[in-house]
Amino acid sequence: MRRIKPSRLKGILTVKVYGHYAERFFDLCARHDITVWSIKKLSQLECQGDVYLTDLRKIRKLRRKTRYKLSFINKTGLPFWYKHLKNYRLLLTSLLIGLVAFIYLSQSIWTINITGTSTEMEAKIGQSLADLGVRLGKIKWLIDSPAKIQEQILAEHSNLLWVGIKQSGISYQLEIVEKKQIEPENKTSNLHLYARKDGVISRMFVSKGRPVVEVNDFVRKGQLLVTGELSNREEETDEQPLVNVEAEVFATTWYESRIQIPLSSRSIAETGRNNKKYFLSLANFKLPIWGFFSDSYNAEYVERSIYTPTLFNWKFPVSLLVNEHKETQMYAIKRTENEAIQIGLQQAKNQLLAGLGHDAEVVEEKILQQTIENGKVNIHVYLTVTENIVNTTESIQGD
Amino acid sequence: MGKLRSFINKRAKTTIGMTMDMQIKLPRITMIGDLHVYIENHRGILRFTADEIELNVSGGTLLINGEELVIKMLLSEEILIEGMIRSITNQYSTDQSEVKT
Repeated sequence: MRRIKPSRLKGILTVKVYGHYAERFFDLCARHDITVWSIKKLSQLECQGDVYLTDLRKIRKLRRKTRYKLSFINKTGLPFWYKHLKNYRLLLTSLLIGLVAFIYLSQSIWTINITGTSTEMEAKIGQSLADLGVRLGKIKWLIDSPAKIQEQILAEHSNLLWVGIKQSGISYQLEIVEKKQIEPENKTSNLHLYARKDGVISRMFVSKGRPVVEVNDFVRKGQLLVTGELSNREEETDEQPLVNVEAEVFATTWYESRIQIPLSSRSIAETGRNNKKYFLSLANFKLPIWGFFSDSYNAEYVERSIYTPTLFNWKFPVSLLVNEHKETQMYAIKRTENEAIQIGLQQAKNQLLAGLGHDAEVVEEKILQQTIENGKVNIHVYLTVTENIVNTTESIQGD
Repeated sequence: MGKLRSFINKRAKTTIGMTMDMQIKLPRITMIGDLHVYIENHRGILRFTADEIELNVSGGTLLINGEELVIKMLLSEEILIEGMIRSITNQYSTDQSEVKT
């Protein structure tokens, strides 16, 4: 036995039939595949029953062949509610507009405060903020995260030391710390310049001071290179004023480095295929709302981002969780011995140059030894570098 | 469901032996206490009041007596009656077209 569960989505009509043997009209309906339920006899001549709105046309057709009188006494279900809603269209529209306006007004930026700098700088930063999309009346969700904006502003204005961004409610607060401009007079006054490393001097640029070494001289660490004493006469040293020395002394230095490169390795790369899954999360509970049937990948990398709407200082308990599944693939990398050596050399150079100053340069590279062991190439490299060996820190003064 | 049932009945007819009610469409009556009566293979309502329902079935009529009877569901071959059911009477008649009340 089964029972009809009338669906409210389809719209249900309660029909009253008037006439002799009114129930026979419903019987006729049933015979024409019209589902009827809750049939009640109201009086000798009246009978009521429920039918679906979709069957109304068929019922009307049937009624024309009979002498019954039909009246509709009740209407429920979605189609009727929808009709009913149409009467309140104006109210609903204005409510919706009001809601949208409220959300917009409460979720956008209405004040931007910049503190910690001069008005001129404030204007400049305000301009670059505007370029980054932070403007009055802009919705909070649409602008980049504070960390990103912080980074961008720091990159754009080199004279800023730190930018702190605080977003609270409708205000956007920037706290700025400017770099203290170092006066040229306060620059380190070097009276003597000493070597930082052992090496053979390859070239020198002495703009102030008197060099005591020459090109192609071998110097040891700590050796005096340029002095502030302009004259080398011993007897006058007491009275002679020392000049600030400014010089660049480039020397050839040598480094050894041992590098190990595997002949085969693996690397993971994204294939570019990805899909997003959306969840509503409340505490630890996650309710999937979108992206159920997207294909799953064998190897994937999941990037998860959480959006929590806030209203003034109140955080919504429910937040939107977006999991971006990116398909990844493992690539096996096989290198020949030569390739491995090239990579090793490059690695050795990069490592070395990272530790030296920006003006260092690799002049020559030489592989002293190379062995292959357990699928790895071991190389022993000898690198010749030219670099500025002037000791710029003041810690070592004299020997 | 009715279609499915008739389809299954047809299949059953060809494959396995059939019971009598399926062959000549005799009514099948299921009663749950005195609350529900479920009748399959009926052939239409003849009369319906709050106390009495008369149904056309093959080979006669079926008279259901009770109180506050409501037809909960009506399909072309099935009917579900709800209410306080007192009795169900089978009325055989050779002439099916006319029923006395």
